Amino acid sequence: MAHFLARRLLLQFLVFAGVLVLTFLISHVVPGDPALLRAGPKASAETIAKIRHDMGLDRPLPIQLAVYVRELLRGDLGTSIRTQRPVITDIAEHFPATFELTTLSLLVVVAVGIPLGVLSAVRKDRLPDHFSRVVAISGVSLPVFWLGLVLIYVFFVRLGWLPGTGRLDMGVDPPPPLTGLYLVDSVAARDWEALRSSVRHLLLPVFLLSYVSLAPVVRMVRSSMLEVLGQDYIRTARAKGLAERLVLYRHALRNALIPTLTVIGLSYGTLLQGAVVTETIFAWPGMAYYAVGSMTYLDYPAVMGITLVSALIYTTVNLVVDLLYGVVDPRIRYD
Amino acid sequence: MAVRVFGWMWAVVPVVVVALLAAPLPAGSAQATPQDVLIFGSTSDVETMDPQVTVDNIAWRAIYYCYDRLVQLKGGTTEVAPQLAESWTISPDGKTFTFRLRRGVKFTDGTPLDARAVQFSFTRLLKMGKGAAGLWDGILDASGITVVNPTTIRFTLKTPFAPFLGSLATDQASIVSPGVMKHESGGDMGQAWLAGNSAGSGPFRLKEWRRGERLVLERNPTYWGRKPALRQVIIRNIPDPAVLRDLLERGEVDMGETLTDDQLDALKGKPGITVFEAPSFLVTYLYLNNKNPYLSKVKVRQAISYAIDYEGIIRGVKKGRAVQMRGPIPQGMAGHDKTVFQYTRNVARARQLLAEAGYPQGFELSLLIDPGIREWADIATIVQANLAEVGIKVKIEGFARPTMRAKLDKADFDMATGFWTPDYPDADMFTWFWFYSKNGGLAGNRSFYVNPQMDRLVVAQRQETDPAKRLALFRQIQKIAVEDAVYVYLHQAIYRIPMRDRVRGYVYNPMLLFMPNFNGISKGP
Repeated sequence: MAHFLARRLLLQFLVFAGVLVLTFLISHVVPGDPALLRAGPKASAETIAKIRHDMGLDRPLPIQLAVYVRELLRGDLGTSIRTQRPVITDIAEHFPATFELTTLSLLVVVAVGIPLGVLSAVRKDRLPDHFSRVVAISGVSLPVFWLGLVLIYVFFVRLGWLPGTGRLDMGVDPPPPLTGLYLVDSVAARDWEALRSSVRHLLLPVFLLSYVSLAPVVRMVRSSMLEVLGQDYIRTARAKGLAERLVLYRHALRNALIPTLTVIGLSYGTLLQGAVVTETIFAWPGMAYYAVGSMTYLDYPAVMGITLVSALIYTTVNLVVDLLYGVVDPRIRYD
Repeated sequence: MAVRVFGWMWAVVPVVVVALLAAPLPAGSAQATPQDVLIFGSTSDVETMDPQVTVDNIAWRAIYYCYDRLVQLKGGTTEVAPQLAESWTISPDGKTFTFRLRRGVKFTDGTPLDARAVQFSFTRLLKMGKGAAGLWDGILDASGITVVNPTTIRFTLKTPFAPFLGSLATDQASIVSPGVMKHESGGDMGQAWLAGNSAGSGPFRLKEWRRGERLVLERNPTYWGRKPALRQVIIRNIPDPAVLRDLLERGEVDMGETLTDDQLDALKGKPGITVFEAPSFLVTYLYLNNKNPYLSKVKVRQAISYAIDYEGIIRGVKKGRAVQMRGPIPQGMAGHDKTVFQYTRNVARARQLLAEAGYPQGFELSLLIDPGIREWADIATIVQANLAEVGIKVKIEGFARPTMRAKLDKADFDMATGFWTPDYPDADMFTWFWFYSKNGGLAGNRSFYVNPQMDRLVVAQRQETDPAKRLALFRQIQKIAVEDAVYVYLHQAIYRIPMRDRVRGYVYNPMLLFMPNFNGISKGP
C-alpha cells in the first residue's frame, strides 16, 4: 500500500510538472499581449513597455518559467493582471462556489446514475431500460448552454419558481464565512434564510450539471451489471433462494462497481468542464467564471493558477478512486 | 421477476426537497427594491477598484463616486467646475497650474485631504505608471508637483497642454488617501489592498464586494458635500442581457447596462420603464493602415470613403440609432466643424478615383474585426459588399480581442473596425491621438498616418492657450484629415440606458457614459 501510494504520488507530481510546463508554454505563445490590455485602449508605447517590464514579460521564456516555478515553490501563484490581487486570494474566493456546485452534482450523478444503471440492466430492452437510455443519451447530446438557457427561461423567466443567477437572493446576506460553502456555513450559523436561498440557487445549476454528466455512469453500471449478472455465482445466489434485492445490490453491484468507480473519477473532469459553461450561464461566481474572465484578458498568472489547481483536484480525485478499489473489492492488492 | 430496484425512499426524497424549497415561493415574486437603495444591473464585473491602475469603464462606474477630484464636469456638460479645488490660476505660458484647495475635507479613513495628500496621490499614479498614468505621458512627472502650502498645490507641466484642466476631471485623477501606504506590501504602494477597497473622499465608499455577484457602495457618512439621497448603490453582476432585461421588467433592478437594441426596443413600451436616449461621443470608424502600399495612396483612401454606404450601416446595423460622423471631431464636442466635407456613397466617383490611382482592376485587402462584437461583424459584411462593387475584394479576418489589439499595435492588418471614446472632454482626444505620427498603433494613430504638417498642427493645438486660435487650428486639422481620408468616419452612436420610472434625477453626461450620477439620483415611491 505504502509503495503504491509513493508511486502514485510520484506519478502525480510528474503529471503536475507536465501540466505546468505545457500550460505555461501554451499561454505564453498565444498571440496577444496582456500588457496591452492592462495599459488600456489608448496607451503610449512607453507605458506599454514599462508595464511589460514590470510584469517580466520582456524576459526570455525559460527565465519567466524559472521565476514562476521558484515563486510557486514558495507557495506564491503570482499577482493577477486583471484584478491586481494575489492569484491565490482570487482562487480562494472563487473555489468554494465551484466546489459546492461540482461536488453536489457528483453526488447527484452517483445517487441517480447507479440505480438507473442497475434498473437498466435488470430490465434490459424493456421500457425502464429505454427510459434510462433516453435520459443518459439526451444528457450527453444536448448542448449544455442550450439546456441551461432553456432551464432559465422556463423556471426563472416564465414560471418564476427558481432564481436564474448568482448564489443568493439580493436581500439575503451570506452566512459568516467559515468554509466558503454556503450550505455548510449557513447550517453552522443556523441561518435558515441563507440556507434556503442558497439551496434554491443551487437547484438549477446542479440539475444541469449532473444531467449532462450522467450518461457515462449509467451506461457503465448497465454494461458491467449485465456482465456480472450472467456469472455463475449470481445463478448460485438465486438458486439458494436469496432475495433478489440482496442478489442485485450485495453480490452483483459490488463487483460491477470497480469500472464504475473509474468512470466516476473521470467524470469529475467532465464536471469541471461542464462547470465552465454552467457557471457562465448562471453567473455562478466560481473558479470557471473567474477562469473565463482571466482567459479573455490573457491573465497568465490567473490562468496558470487555475490550471494547476484544477490539475491538482483532478489527479487527487483519481488517486482517491484508485484507493477506493481496495475498499470495494478486498481482492485488489496494491503491490 | 418483480424487483424493486429503486427503494421507496428514492421516490420520496426529491419530492420532499422540491416541495420544501420551491412550493412556498410565490410565483414570479416581484419585490420592489427599497427606496433608498439603487440596484444597478451590469453585464460585466469590475476588475479592480484602484483608480490609479484601471482604465476600464466598467470599473470606473464603481470607483468614480468613491473619490473626489480637483475639478469636476458641470452637470451634463463638458465644462470644468471646482470640486476639491475652490479656484485656480493658469500661467500665461500654459504650463503652470496652481490650485487652492477646499479646507476641512477628510478621506473616509480619517486622513486629512491637503496639498500633501494631493501630491502623494499624483506621485503614486505616476510612479506606478500603469495604464491610468498614460494620460499624462510626457506632460507631467512627479518633480512637477509642488506643495506650496497646506491648501495650495502647483503643477508644472513639461510642455503646455491645453486640455490639462479637463483631464483632471477623469477617473485617473481621483485623489487617493496617503493612508493606503499603511497597507503596502512588497513595495506595491498599496495596490493589492486598494484593488478591493476604497480610500477616497467621495459621496460613496465601497462597503462590500462579492466578486462576480455584487458590489455594494454605501453613503460616505463624513462626506463634505451634499449628502446623496441613496443609502446604497448595489451593482449586480448579471452577465446574460436577457436575464437583466427580465429583472428590469420585474422591478428587481432599477437601471441596467448593456442591453442590445432589440431588447431596449422591447422594453421601451413596458409599463414602469423609461429608456433614456442621447447622442454620445462613442464613435465607430475604420482604420486604413497607411503602411499598406494600396492604402498609402490618398486616392485609394478617398475611393474607399466614397464607396461605403454610411446610411445603410446606420440603418442596418444601428437601426437608426446613430448619426453619420462629419470629420474626426464628433458633434457636441467643442471644436467640431459643421462645415467640413462629409463623404457620402458615390460608387462612380469611387471607381474613377481607383482608376486614377492606377487600379482600375481593383485589388484585395483584409478587414480585421473582433467577431465577438456583433456590430463589427455586421459592419464588416456591409463594407465587404460595398467595396466589392468598386472592385476591392475584402477578406474579413476575425480575432479574439487580445490578439486583435496586438495586431493593431504592430500594424499587422490592412483595414480594421474600431471604437473610440474620449477620456477627457477635449477635441485633443480626436486629433492629437489620431493623427500624430508618433502615436502609431494602440496609442491612437491606428491608420499609421504620417504627415509633418499635421504633426505640427496637432502639437500646436495642444500648446495653444488662446481658445479662438485653438478653434482655428482644429478647423485646419479637420479639413486635412477629411481630405486625406485618414480614416473612414462612420458614425456617432446614440447612448441608451433603461431605468425604472421611479428613478429620479438622472443627469446624462456624455463624458461619463458608464458613470451615472449616483450622488444625484433618488427614487420615488
